[in-house]
Amino acid sequence: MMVYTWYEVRWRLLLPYSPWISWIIPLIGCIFVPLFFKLGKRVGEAYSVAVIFLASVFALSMVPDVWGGRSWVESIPWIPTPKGFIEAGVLVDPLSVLMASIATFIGAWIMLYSVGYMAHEEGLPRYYFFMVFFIGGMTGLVMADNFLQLYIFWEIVGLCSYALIGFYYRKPEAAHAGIKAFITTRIGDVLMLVGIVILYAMFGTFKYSEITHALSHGLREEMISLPLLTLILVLIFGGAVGKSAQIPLHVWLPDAMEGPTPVSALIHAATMVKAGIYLTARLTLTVIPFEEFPPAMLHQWYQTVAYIGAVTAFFAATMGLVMTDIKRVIAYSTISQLGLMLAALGLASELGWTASTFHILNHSLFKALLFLAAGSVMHAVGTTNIDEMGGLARAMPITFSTSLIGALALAGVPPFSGFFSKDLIIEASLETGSLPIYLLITFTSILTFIYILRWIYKVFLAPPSHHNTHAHESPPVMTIPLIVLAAGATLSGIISEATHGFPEYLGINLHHSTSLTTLLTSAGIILSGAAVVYLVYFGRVMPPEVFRSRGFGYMLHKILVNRYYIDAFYYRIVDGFVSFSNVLRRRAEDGGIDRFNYLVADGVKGAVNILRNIQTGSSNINIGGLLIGLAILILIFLTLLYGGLW
Amino acid sequence: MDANILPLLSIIIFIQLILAPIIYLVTRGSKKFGDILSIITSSIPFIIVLYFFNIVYNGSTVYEEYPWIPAFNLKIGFLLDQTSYPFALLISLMGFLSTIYSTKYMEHEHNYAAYMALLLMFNAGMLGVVLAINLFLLYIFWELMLIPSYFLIAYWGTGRPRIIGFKYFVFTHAGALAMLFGIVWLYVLYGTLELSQLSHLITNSIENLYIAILIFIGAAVKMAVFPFHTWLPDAHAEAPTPISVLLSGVMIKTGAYLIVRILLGLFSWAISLINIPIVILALISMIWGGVMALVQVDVKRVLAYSSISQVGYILFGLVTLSPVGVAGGIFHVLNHGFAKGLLFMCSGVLIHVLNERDLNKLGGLASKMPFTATAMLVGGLSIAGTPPLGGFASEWMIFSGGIDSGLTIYTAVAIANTALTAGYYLRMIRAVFFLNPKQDISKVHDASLTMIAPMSILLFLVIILGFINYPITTIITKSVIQLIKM
Repeated sequence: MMVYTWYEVRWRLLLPYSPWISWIIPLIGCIFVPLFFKLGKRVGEAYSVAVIFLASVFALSMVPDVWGGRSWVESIPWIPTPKGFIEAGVLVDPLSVLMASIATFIGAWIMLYSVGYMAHEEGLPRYYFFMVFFIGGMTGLVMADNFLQLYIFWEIVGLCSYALIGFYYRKPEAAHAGIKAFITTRIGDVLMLVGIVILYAMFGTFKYSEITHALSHGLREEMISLPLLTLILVLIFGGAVGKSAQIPLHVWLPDAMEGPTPVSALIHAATMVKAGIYLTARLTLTVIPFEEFPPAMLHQWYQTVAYIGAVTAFFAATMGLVMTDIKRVIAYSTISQLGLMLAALGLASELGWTASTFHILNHSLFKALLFLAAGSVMHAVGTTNIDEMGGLARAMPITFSTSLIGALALAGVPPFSGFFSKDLIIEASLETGSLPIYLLITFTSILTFIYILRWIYKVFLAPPSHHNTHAHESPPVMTIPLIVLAAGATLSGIISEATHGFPEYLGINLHHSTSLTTLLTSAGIILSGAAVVYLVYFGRVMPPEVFRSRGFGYMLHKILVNRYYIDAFYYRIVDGFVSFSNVLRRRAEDGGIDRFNYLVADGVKGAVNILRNIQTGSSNINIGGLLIGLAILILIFLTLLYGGLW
Repeated sequence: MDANILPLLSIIIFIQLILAPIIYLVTRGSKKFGDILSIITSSIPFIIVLYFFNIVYNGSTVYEEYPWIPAFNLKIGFLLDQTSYPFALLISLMGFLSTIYSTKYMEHEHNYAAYMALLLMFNAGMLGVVLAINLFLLYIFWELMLIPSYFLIAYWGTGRPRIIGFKYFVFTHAGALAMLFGIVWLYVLYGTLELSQLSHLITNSIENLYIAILIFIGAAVKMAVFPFHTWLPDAHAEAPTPISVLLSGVMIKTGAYLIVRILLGLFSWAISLINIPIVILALISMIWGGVMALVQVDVKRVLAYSSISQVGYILFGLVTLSPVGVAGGIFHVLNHGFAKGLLFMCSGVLIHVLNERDLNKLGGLASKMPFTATAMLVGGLSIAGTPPLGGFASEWMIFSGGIDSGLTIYTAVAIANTALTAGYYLRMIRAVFFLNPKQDISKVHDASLTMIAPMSILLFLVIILGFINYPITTIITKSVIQLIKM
């Protein structure tokens, strides 16, 4: 019997190639999805799920390799240009492996859930093709070691998002939401591409590490000025603002809820929208590391990040308070939580960075869980309006208990995971942030507590409405992913807290003990949130209907329901642009430039018609004309010949 | 490499010209035989061009010349080098594919045999332009490509084909005359029209600036650069679809070839003086084309205006005068050619199957025509510069060229315009394939295999060129290094 050492086994399992295989498997695998569906629906589904589970094995296999902050780069030549070869490569470090594991592992459970949720839909090959393609794209995005590759995958995931939002393509809202998502994020991507291309034109490379060297060298030699560097960083950050749905490009994410629920869970909660956070984290970790580029130097950039994040977090949370669509509440919550992560990154400290990446992990777990739970509810009751739900706790015990775990994790209640990362964010904001940032984060957290328990109350606990008399628990293929994610959302925080696992994994040595202020803030958040929820919903001491019936409450509710009129404002701009284009088409293109051509043509025709009268056919006139012409020609000739003498 | 037994380059050009009358006669007798013969004929140039790939890739060139008019110091000859290779590849492939496509699409048209013969002559004219070794020959082929295409538009077009064909003829011919003026002027100055000799003779003088401007006008009309663009939406939208494929995908690129070969290759000094105005023209073209495409209701007119916009990108890349930008411009010629050819073929499927091209009357076709829907989405997104598709691979090169040459603000505008491009393509795709159908589509089916086959080749190229493009970019890179002489 052959005995293999672990080293040999690793090679035989191709594990050393994981940084490449983990994203190439889904990218190649997606091509065969339609073929397997030809063999049968079950075969196609099984294949798609299996591909992602396989990819997740490879992604997770990298975790031990990078434990403790180890990192390396592998690259191969790719595109020849007049400036030399551009290389394709992978960057393996704790951040990229964390993101890849989230994309593939959570992705795998969401795929499994899809099998139940999408069972009765048409167009499944299309659905699974784009899901698998998306996971490959997302994993490739985070593994890339250069901006060009990042941008390519960045757009691939955007394309998948567009296609999956518009999955129910006959539904006008879905078709519209897909375009809205694509174009809105494209606006951010344009800024990002400008930034990337400037970097390439200046340094002739897309690689993070080479750009870092070139930048620090350039700054020392004064070849690049600090304002220019800040500008480039802000431009690249524009891509993150679009992708992570931050103000002012946040409008697409709530509409993206038109897509199937697993899509919302995977793309619009757990992974793709995190790409912006990832990019910002990547910039601060690799491209402009703290050691070489002290935060004080890039103060303006960090401030931009922090404020966009914190302001978005707060405003999205306020809108989450009044939404009545089961998915839109959590969509606004996603925007808000993404804002928190960015705010933490903008604090420009190791603590803030760690807190943010930790929150990425936790948020992926509990937000995917909440979306899948919402899908389970929609599956059962056939409506998306939370005012028409209620009393589902008894009918759907697993969905209810897992949702509650997700909600408590999001609300930041110990011992669930959200508490620990939110705690770290608050602590980081106390350490290096300014007062407004701290206050925005704190108020956001209070609002988060309120809106998510309102959601739980309305969906599961409120007096039942007539719609859900037949509600029943979803099949195991849907509840098992719920349980897995709930276990993750419960354990990830507490295990990390007990063992310091997460900072250790990142290789960051945090010398901190939670300060008293942080503890008080956290306690305050929970207590004030709980008080409001009790007064408004459970105790009905101050029911929301009364509050919003008149005066200030009425105004506020109207503004929030209309999303601060930002969407309406954007629609006005777009509609204005289209009607202006129409005017241009009528007046300038068809009525101006093109009409001019026909005018010239008609003019020539008219002139020819006049000249035609000369052609009388009479020989006297013809010969007379000939002689006059000859005389003129001779005159001209003489003039030219002797012109100089006169 | 001129030791070939067969004069292969001459075959590329002349086989289609010589066989065109024969094909006309054969097709009149039997459509089936005629079709096979025309497909084989149109595939020969493509096969020969592919055959020379290794030679060109390794940095050599293929050259043939024969004496012609000794009195004027004129030779007849052809050159396939790194600069002409991408263009020749594009023309021969698209000519081949649209011939296949035509056999199905045009099958019920009147005078089908004449159509086929003219199509082959049109292909030959375009190939001649990019392979000619002197400007006189180039001009002859320039006209040779104009005449068949005029007849193709005027006789088989839709709408008001005679007027539109005439408009197309007058516009391009006016441009050609400007170019001819420039060519004659060159001959008067230097006594030769051989490109290889001219490159040593041309000096930095004011006359050369004028000549460069004249030739630019010829190229600009052909490329439909704003404000010489109004012929394009009419001609490209009303031509029979396989001809739209060639006009939009290929023919307007001969203008780009003229700019690369003559203006960048010979008049580098003159072009560096006028490049900023041209950059501005390019920007206006790309924005104007995009804005107009946004408000069209006819599928083919959307695509036609999109060509105006994309030609702006090509021109922008070429006149950045930076190596990466020029390489991107040339590469975009290919990517746009493949993608736009694909898109026009998709519109042809709509016309062939539904006899409908009005965006307001289409809808909900995604599940009925999965292949066409995919192809149109991929083609449109490629042109909108979405990675990993071909269009992005060339557009980022164009953009980095722009910033390389210090045209940062212009480049930012050009990049921002890609969002507009995505906007009008997604609008079109939503109107055609999404939403609820506005007519009975229960009996609608996807295109037949004869049409799907050429489309899938293009679809494959559009996708693959996005990330595996080193064979072609290597050639382009070598060409640019020679042209710009870094």
